[in-house]
Amino acid sequence: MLFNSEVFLLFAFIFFPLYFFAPGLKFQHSITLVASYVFYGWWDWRFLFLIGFCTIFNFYITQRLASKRGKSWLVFSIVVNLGILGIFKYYNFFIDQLITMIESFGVNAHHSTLSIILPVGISFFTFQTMSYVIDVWRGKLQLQGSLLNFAVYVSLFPQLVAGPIVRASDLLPQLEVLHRFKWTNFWIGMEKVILGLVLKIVIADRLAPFVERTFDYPSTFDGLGLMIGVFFFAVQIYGDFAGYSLIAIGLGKIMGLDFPVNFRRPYMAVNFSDFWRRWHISLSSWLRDYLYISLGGNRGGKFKTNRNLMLTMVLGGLWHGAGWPFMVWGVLHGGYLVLQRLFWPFQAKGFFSIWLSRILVFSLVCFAWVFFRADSFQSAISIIKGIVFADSYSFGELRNKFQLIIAFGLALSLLILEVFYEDSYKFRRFTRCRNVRAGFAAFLLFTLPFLGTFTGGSFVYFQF
Amino acid sequence: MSISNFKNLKAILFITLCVFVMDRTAGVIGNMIVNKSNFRYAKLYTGRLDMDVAIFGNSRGVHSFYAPELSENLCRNVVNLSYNGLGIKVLEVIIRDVLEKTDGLDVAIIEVTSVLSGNNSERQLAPFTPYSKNLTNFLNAQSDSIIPWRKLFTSYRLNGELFYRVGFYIGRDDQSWINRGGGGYSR
Repeated sequence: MLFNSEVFLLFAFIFFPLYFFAPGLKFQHSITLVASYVFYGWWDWRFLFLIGFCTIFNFYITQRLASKRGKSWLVFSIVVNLGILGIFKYYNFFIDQLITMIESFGVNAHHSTLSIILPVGISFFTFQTMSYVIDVWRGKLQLQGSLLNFAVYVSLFPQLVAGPIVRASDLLPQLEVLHRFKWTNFWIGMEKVILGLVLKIVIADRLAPFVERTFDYPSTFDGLGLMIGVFFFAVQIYGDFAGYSLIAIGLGKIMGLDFPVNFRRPYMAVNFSDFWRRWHISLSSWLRDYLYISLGGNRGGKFKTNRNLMLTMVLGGLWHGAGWPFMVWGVLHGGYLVLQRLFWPFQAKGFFSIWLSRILVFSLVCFAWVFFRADSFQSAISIIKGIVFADSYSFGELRNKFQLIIAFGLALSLLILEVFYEDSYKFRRFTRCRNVRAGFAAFLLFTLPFLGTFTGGSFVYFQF
Repeated sequence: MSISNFKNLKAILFITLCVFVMDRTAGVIGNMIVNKSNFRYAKLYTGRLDMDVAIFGNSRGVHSFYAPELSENLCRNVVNLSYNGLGIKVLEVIIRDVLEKTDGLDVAIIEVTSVLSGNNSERQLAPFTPYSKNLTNFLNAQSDSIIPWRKLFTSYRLNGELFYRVGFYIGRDDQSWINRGGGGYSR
């Protein structure tokens, strides 16, 4: 079920009254669990067995872990969780690579890959359950005694399929209390839902057709067309993913739950560590706490720190999907971070320095996005070649100029608003005024039918 | 009802009213733009089109007939009413509107591939629904989940490439448009 669909509207109209008028905590959790399973099963009911297994397995393994404190139970749990992820997400990729390797030695290897459907959101809920198990083992979190509460934590529908990745330590305590309707939560939540819908329907979906054409048929575009395609993808993926996160956070807030912020104007970053403190914050902090630090973090000298950074980013790239382009994307970001530590360890200060840093970071992030979005490594290279060695950068060669100008205007408006919000204290103070917020919400609602794209486009991050 | 509930419901009502006003204002401005534009359908639906020969079709119709040259050679007023992606069903509606809104035609040329194609662009013609019952009925009869939203929001009908073209052709003539990308056209 998509947030930007009519069926979700109906779902919300049924769910919220039941949720708020629930007579007790157990009833409220039961309603939430059933609703979350309906929401998730809407894609494919068979996925429910998987999420059910993950919930029960991790719940009981943690009970064992808490009573025996044996590391082997922790390892077993991580192996099973990553094994599930590996089978569904990486099995075909690794089989293909193995066969290619064998065939490169001249051996004819017949093979058949399994047609495995990737369950929506598997990477997100696997990471959530793993964080719970690891936190209990580390002694940072108390054991959850109620299977119902734990099942709600794993499957909570607003953030189930594309995050933000909510830590058990953040969410489980919030599930201990009965939530009633509050106007303050409603307003804060609705504001985020509306903004998220605009980012998705008005901006990301408007840019999607151009991005698709650019990346599917790069040879039909000249240098300028390709550059615009890459720029549009950078804005599209931001609008799409930040939009989803905002809707999720907003729906959570209406329910009385606080989810962590997932995006904080990432394209305003002045260096790469700053970028990762602003982009997909719940994943980058997860990778930092459970992978980078487990690998040794920055303890152990320059070499080990840089190795850990690189490994974390490559695995972060692979988390997005099985394929060489994702790995290259991870290597690039790892490389950026390592190079920054080695050669550029200062903070940008002053107007020119900040803007120069922002433009440089944005350009290099866009360069990495090419690999992230391209269907293959070759396709990414042909796009980069097309931009660098183009015969022409003529505006006259661009097609669908009317749509292009509107899309460009919308993308630019978003970035300009973010610049004002980032740089101007007066603007931030202005946007805190209640009447301004109400007017802005009304304007955003108005833009939905006026500028929105209603093709029922799915969210980009669902595939991860 | 408590004071807090009353205040918040008032705020919801205020925001709804703001959206409604913005939407209707956009609708009025949209109509003003249609009235001023020289885009072929804007002129047709506001009764500003005078022609003896009309050409109907999809993108092939747009690219294959150069109306100013045909007008000169035939010594007749020729207007190209083709548009990208037009299928036969919506074309039928446009032809009916041409017959209702003009003094009639001497010749109608229909580019044949549009007869065979589907309806890709019918939604695009929504800016002209206030001017044509035929078009309104046709669009409402489509099995389209958007229809209730279009009825609710006036601005929804302005959401499309064709409306941007309507705006672009204020003070410009759309018949002298020629495909610079190459390819011949009928003389």
